[in-house]
Amino acid sequence: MWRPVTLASLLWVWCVAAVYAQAQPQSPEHWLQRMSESHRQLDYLGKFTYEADSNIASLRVAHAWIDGQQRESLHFLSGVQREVHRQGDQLHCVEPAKSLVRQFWGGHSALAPSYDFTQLSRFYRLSGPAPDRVADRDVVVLELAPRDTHRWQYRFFIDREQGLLLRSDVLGDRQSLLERLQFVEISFDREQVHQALVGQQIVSERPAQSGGETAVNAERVAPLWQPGWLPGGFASVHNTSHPSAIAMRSYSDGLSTVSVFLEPLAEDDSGEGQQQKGATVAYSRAQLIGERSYRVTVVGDIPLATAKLIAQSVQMGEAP
Amino acid sequence: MTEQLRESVSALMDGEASELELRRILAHGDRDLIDRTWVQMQTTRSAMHGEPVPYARLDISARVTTALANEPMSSRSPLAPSAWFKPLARVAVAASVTVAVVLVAAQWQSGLDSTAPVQPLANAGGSSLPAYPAAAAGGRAGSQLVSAELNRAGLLPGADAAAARDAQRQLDKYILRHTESLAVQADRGVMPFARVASYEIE
Repeated sequence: MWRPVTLASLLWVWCVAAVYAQAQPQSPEHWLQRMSESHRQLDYLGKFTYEADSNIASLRVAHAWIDGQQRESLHFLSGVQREVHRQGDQLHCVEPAKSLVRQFWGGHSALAPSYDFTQLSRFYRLSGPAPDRVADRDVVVLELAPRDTHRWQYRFFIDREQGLLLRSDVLGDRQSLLERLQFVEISFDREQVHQALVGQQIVSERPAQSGGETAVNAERVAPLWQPGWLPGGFASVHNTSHPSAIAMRSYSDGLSTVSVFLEPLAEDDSGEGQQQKGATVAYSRAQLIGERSYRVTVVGDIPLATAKLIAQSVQMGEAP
Repeated sequence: MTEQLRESVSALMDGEASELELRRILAHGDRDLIDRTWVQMQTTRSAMHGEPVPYARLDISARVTTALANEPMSSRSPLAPSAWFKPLARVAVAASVTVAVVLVAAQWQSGLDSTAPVQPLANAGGSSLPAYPAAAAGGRAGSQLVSAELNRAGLLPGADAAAARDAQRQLDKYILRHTESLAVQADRGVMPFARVASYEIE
């Protein structure tokens, strides 16, 4: 006798919840959360354009879970023929014309960091969601304007049904467009996606842990190095010691990610350099840390002045 | 006057002149023509913005040449610049020259109240760096222009092209590593590779 009652009440609760969810406008934080998860959860195949510095490239991307592993591929459809393939924590960058393959192993820490997007409003003014259309699909538009000068401004166009980011505009000083990524076509058809990824199995051997390292490893020489200053909200994402002399730390505020590299300095190498491509900035300079000279390089989608501040703050010691 | 030259003068006025454009202005035979064009353009712009329309005699080419001549080539760092970072210093020269001319324009506009002659720029500043805050305070284009020039590192024509390519490759190496770790360790996937220009590194 109790069973139908329980079922009925469950059904009723579910109905009320559904109606409530319909009526309640979703917050920008909700959409950001969905956006940050959907690209690694969904199976999709699409074509998109990437514009930066008055150049435009067209690309094709496929993503699926196959045998409990994330499988992805990226093909450049314009310019030099290039491909990127990913299987779990392994990456292959290929330039077929030059039979060039670059391999990367991410190591075992391939757990995606999760961000508390409710904290984001401390550093960005969030507005939206507003309705629009991209790649023949309904999207919601979010605007994120930085509250300080250490971040870019973002405009996200998120698929209303699937939560996938279908267009993103990154704006700099005075609303100038730094880069735009926009899907023109997207499919969530599982069959189609799997077909696109078939035959792209990565076969390669994991490199042995580098034993006979001759270069001076920065992580060994200066294990406690870190930036003494970071913009508000930037937290450590991961540390990597490449099988080379270069040590690396990454930080993110949930939207932009900054990597700081430390490399023992060659004697004849002492200047500074900088460049910006789209929203990505790289700044490098020679710096005395403790008693040794290092090359400190900061890369990330942040303004150049902020990259310089971070580079200059690198020091020995405990975490800030 | 060719349309190209007119555009170069206009770019200089906007603080967006490339090194090539600076050279074009310097190489032009008729300096009076350049000065007249500058004054004409400035007059038109002032009128459009409802500002009083002043007149002063300028020698743009001379100022650019003086600024270049007084530019210390390696005063940026106590350490000698290495091969792959040289282009930055070269760009800084071009940027400071542009700042110099913009500073002239700013002085020229404000200097109308007093009839004192405009000071030669490079002498007043000594090097590029002291001139910069002055330009930012006096002119409108100062800071934005310097960053615009610096962002073109590695794209300069001429003898520095090889060194610029080297600098570019070194920074590209770090960008590639950043992107690889973003893709796998931060689990953002392969999409950020749309930003990477080449995999042919190391």
